[in-house]
Amino acid sequence: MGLPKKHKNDINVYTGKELLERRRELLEEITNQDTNLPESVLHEDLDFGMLEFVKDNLLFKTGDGDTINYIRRILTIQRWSEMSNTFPFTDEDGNIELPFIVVIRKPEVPFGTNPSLQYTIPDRQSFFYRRVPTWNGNRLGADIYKIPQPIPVDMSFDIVIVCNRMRELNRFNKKIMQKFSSRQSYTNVKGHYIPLVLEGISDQSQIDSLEGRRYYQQSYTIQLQGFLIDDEEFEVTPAIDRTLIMSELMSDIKGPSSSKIQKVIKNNIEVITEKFLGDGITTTYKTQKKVNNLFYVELNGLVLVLGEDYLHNGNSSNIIFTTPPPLDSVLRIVYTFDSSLKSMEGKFLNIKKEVIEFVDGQMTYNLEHTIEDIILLDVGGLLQIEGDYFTFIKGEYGVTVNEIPPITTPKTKMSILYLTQV
Amino acid sequence: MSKKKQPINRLNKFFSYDDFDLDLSMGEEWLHGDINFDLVLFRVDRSKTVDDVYGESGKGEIKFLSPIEFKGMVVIGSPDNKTYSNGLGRILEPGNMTISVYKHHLEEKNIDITYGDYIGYYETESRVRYYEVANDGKVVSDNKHTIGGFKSFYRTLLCTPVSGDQFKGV
Repeated sequence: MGLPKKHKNDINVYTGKELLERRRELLEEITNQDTNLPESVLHEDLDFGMLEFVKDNLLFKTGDGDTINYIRRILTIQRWSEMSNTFPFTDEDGNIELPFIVVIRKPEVPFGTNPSLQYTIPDRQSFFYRRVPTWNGNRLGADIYKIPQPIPVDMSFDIVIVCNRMRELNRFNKKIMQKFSSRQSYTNVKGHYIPLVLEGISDQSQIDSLEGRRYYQQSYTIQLQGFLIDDEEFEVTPAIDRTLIMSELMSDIKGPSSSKIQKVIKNNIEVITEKFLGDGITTTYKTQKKVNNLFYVELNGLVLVLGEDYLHNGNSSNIIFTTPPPLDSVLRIVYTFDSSLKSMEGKFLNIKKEVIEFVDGQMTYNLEHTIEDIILLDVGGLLQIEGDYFTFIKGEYGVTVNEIPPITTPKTKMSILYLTQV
Repeated sequence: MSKKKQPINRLNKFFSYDDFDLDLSMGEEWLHGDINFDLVLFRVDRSKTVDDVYGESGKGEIKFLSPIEFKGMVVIGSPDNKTYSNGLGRILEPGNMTISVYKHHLEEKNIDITYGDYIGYYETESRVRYYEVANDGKVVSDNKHTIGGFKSFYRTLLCTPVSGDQFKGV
């Protein structure tokens, strides 16, 4: 037995657009107008949305075959308005003919309970909504559209039916129950889907009045969880249409300075002097080689003090100044790359530093160790030149100076950095 | 119940059937001849008006017997200005209508007015207002409805106004 010929292999349950396409469709509905901004959604729009919802979904045919009378406006305290809106279905006395449905809005509108809109963006700040291209005839630009977060509001409506027959109550109840079978339904206000929640049913029927007119009256309370969008709060600001980029490149690390390097061999030890020009900005100067023994740092002939004027971590090639050397100042960093210091004879050498106070009339000063070579001799921070200011004899203790500075208080000191045998 | 009739001998020294009939005829002469309030009775044909569940009928579905004119003393209450819902949905509700009708007159017309029947009353030449009988006044045991306690002679009907979708005449 073959399969029936007319059968469907696939049932398209949901015929509308899905996912991203559906989102685009929704956005198109909201912005399908003259401007690129959404339209205002205010109280009257939400009221109108409720009226349209009732008109489209809850009206029914009465036993006569006619659609139940429906007051297509929100009744307010203005009596003439009520009279004019009920005019099409009033009797000779001006009373509304039964049966009829009317929507009554409770005047108070509290802050909304829709959790997706509550207290997320504070202080009415606007957020980016859309970038819209502009053209002024010469230049392509753009406007930035910003809108504040919509304000959630809860609006309560009573949909009241007044009638003389139980069957009409039944029909209306069936409509309501079918529409709110999932607790909530939706009305479309300017492209926005606004949830409606059925909150309860109450009965005010006049059936216990034996000697008065009797009728059924029931109220269905529906909460509209809407939001307010006010176009007066929208912001349109011009975006950047031209950009001028100015760049100032600065380096806070200077070096290496290969053209300024000077090497002196002292006792088989390569003493490297690197010269930098200060720029008034840079604080860190980088030598070509790793500094294993930093002898001294001199700025315009003045020997700087480690720990006060500059910092240096052992084995690093960076000399960090506490304040940047002035513009065009001459900076010399004297160091050796060798980690172990050996003399020509292969003996290990040590670096010693001594500070000596000048004594009036004394030209020769003995150091604690024998001198293999003097790397630095400064008087009061001023660098002195060997042969010009001082002399020494290799292997002996004494250093002889040519001139004694004036004796002052405190006394002027001489600092000697020298090599000695271990 | 026994079909045997028991003559009324109350007040027999100064009031008799003849006096009762005289008073009744004088009253009817005044009410029907001088006052002359005409009313139209629309009796529901209960044998043809059937609703299985609710016993209610739609507009135009109620079957009526032939309308019958009758006369009575009519008193209509003042209208009540009220609203359906908290001040909204205003309705100017007509007052109830109280009809006093001679039992003899109903017997002559061979009609009975019962609870739920409709009564039309011509307010103007072209305007009829319809009422529904809310109290058919069949219990007339009280002294008010008798002549000195001799025998009851009239009924008081209380009728409430009906809306157009309930009854608009035949």
